[in-house]
Amino acid sequence: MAIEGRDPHSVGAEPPDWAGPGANALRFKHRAMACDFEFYFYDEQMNDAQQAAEAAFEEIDRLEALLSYFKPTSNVSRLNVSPAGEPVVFHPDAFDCLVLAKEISELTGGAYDPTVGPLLGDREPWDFDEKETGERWAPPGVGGVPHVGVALLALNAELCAAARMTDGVRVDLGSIGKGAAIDAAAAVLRDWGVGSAMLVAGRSTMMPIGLPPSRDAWRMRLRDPQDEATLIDTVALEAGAISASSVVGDGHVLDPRTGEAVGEVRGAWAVAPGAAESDALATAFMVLDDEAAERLVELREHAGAFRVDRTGEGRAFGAWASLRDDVEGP
Amino acid sequence: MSEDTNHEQATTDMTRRTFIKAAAFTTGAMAMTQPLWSQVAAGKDTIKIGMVGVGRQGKILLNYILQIPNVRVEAVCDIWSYSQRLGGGLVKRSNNPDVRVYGEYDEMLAAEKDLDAVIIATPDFLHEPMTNKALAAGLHVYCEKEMSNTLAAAASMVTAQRASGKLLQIGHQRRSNPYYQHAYRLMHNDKFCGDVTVVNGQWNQLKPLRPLPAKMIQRYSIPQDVLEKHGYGSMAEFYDWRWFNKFAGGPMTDLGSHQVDIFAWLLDTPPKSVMAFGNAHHAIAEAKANNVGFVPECFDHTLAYYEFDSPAFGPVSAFYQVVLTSSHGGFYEVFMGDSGSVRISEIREKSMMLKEKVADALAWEDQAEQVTQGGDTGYQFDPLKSRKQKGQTAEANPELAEMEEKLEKAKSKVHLLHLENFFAAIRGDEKLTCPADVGYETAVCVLKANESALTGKKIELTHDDFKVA
Ligand SMILES: NC(=O)c1ccc[n+]([C@@H]2O[C@H](COP(=O)([O-])OP(=O)(O)OC[C@H]3O[C@@H](n4cnc5c(N)ncnc54)[C@H](O)[C@@H]3O)[C@@H](O)[C@H]2O)c1
Repeated sequence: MAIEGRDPHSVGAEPPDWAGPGANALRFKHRAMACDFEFYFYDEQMNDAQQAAEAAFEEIDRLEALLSYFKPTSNVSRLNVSPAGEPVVFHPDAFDCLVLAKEISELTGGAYDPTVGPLLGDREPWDFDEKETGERWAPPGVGGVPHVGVALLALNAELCAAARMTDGVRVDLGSIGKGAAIDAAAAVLRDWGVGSAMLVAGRSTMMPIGLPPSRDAWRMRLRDPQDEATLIDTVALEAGAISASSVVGDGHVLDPRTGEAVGEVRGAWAVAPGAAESDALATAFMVLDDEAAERLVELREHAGAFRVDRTGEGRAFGAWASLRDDVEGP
Repeated sequence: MSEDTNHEQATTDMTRRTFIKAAAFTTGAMAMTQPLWSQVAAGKDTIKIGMVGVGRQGKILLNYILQIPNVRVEAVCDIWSYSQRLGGGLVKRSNNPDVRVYGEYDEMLAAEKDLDAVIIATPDFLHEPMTNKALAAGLHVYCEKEMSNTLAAAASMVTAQRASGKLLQIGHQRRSNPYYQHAYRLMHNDKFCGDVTVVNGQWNQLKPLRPLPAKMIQRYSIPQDVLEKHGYGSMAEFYDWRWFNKFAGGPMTDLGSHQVDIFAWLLDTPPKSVMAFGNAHHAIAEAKANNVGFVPECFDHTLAYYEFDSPAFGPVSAFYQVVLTSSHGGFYEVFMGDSGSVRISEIREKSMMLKEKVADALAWEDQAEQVTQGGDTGYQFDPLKSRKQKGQTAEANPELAEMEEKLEKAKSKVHLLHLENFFAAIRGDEKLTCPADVGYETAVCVLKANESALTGKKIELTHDDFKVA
């Protein structure tokens, strides 16, 4: 999705300018979670950067193995086939994702919901990967759908375990997986002493480490998801993560609370201290009404969002206003 | 936004946990089954372990252990603050906030009176002293391969294990892998290969010598006196221990031993001779060119010929190569016979069975799926597909269902099955798949190959050479 400079098919053709003119980056790329993860390191020696990147990419693969909806041995898959009431022991990294997903779901009254899977009917989410199947997902217009809702998931923090409280409920952490992987990679890179870097997952999630070498913030331009020539907003990010969510073409996003398609929002961007959280918030902002959106950013420290509706009208929430970058041109 | 994101993250985590604890379950319209937490809560069947060495391999093992019910990590031991923080942090965030973290192994053993077992994943030269102390303290031990970098030390581990009556599992995880167990059945029960005459295996993986990651090593430097106390002359020796004879046995023990272990296992006998070649010329030149700050001692490649006298197949000639200066072909083992051959690897995509045209059709042949790899057409190497009776499903047959689950794990979590075998053996439910005697046989295979390469002589071996008196 449209965060400045990121065209997945021509990465690196135009060097990203978020770090300012003349900032030279060492770039590393790794495929995981069906997208490209990229690291841009500034002010770094090649040998250090390369070994740090390898360690961080390993971490991303580790997260994928824990969180994948598709791999039968992931924590998520084991939960999805476990008999109701029988606890599944989670790895703490996967457990934290589950806790975050449940929390955001509760704070949004279910507008964000990692158990929305069954609304897809007997199709699997990947059946609707437009690129693979040429088919776009048209969600069923059902209301009061059973087996959906995080209240059906029991989590036990002391035991680091989760259980389904009814057989049908199915968890998919795909909406925060990339963010969680970026969070974990950033932790490794910081630990390895990387001081200035930008981490990117696909076109939807970005998180800086430190500041660019000669600027006081990372300058990001957000483009209209349906018309990349149109600049929507510019933000100056000093820390935290930014995520984007949008509808593809004239598609729809599903409201888990009703099972119906919502078409009001065309694209949403969210900022939060961590990338898993900004991922979840960006998804929630596609669905929430203005009032609930205001409430949500008040409840999450340092959270903010910006979204554009069908008519192209934009609106900022929470911390977003303070991130606005007025400087024009690099 | 806050600069201190690490701190931020910690606070958020805490709030999340508290939040969950406080939240009462909202009962909806449909019936909900309350979770049976006691199934995974610590109780009398919980196996309490100490993790020793949380480097690259230790971390892999720990990450699996944290997902195994009824196993609890009570203590973590590592001399390196980087590994301590990582290992201790993971366990704290999992099911044991009270985990103890030690720098000194002896201190851990002295203080932890309630452990059942230790998992040892330190450099090879430490396996013997650490294993023997744990066995003497009455603990079961899962010790990573290679058992040791000297035969005398490996033998003393066998002796210590016998004296203790405790379990000692050596980390040759292929022994617990259902694909490898299937290969044994294929060759011995189904006689798929007919008479095996030649075996061939390789592990080729480019491992360039690079300088230490300076920033990271600086952040987590170990004081020189601590390094020396533990046998390391410098941070480089500590970090790149694999290149030094006093710590390791080179690529033959590091990688080769996994596969030569398979040769002996699937042929049902240890070899009767070995002749090997190897050197470190490229590594030495590369280390100099890249300024890595030390001279590599261990080989950068080794080629070994083994002769076997298999009770099942008769005389078998085997060739093995391990190469750190090229990645060509990756890693696999091939067993060749006059009816067919089996190629097997921890990488599933490299495994297949090839049938010779002259051989008779097998009972399950119409069930097997055809695959083509690198121009060869054969059968998919799949225990379910090749053995399942017609019409049988996993739902109807619990044994098949269990096998299916194991096979899934074997595709990506190769060490998990070996750990599970260890824990099941502690509970008395299974036999160890790689006990001390087996680990010793493999140590002889690879350390004798090193000896042959150094002396330039072929070494004849008898069955007695593989047994500890
Ligand atoms: N089974 C397998 O597939 C497999 C794969 C890789 C490694 N291994 C084995 O695992 C072992 C560790 O290898 P690695 O790659 O993780 O090495 P590593 O260097 O990454 O890790 C070794 C760890 O041991 C710690 N350590 C060193 N001396 C210590 C001491 N005296 N007391 C406590 N801790 C100490 C180090 O600080 C480090 O954390 C080796 O024996 C290796 O052969 C097995």
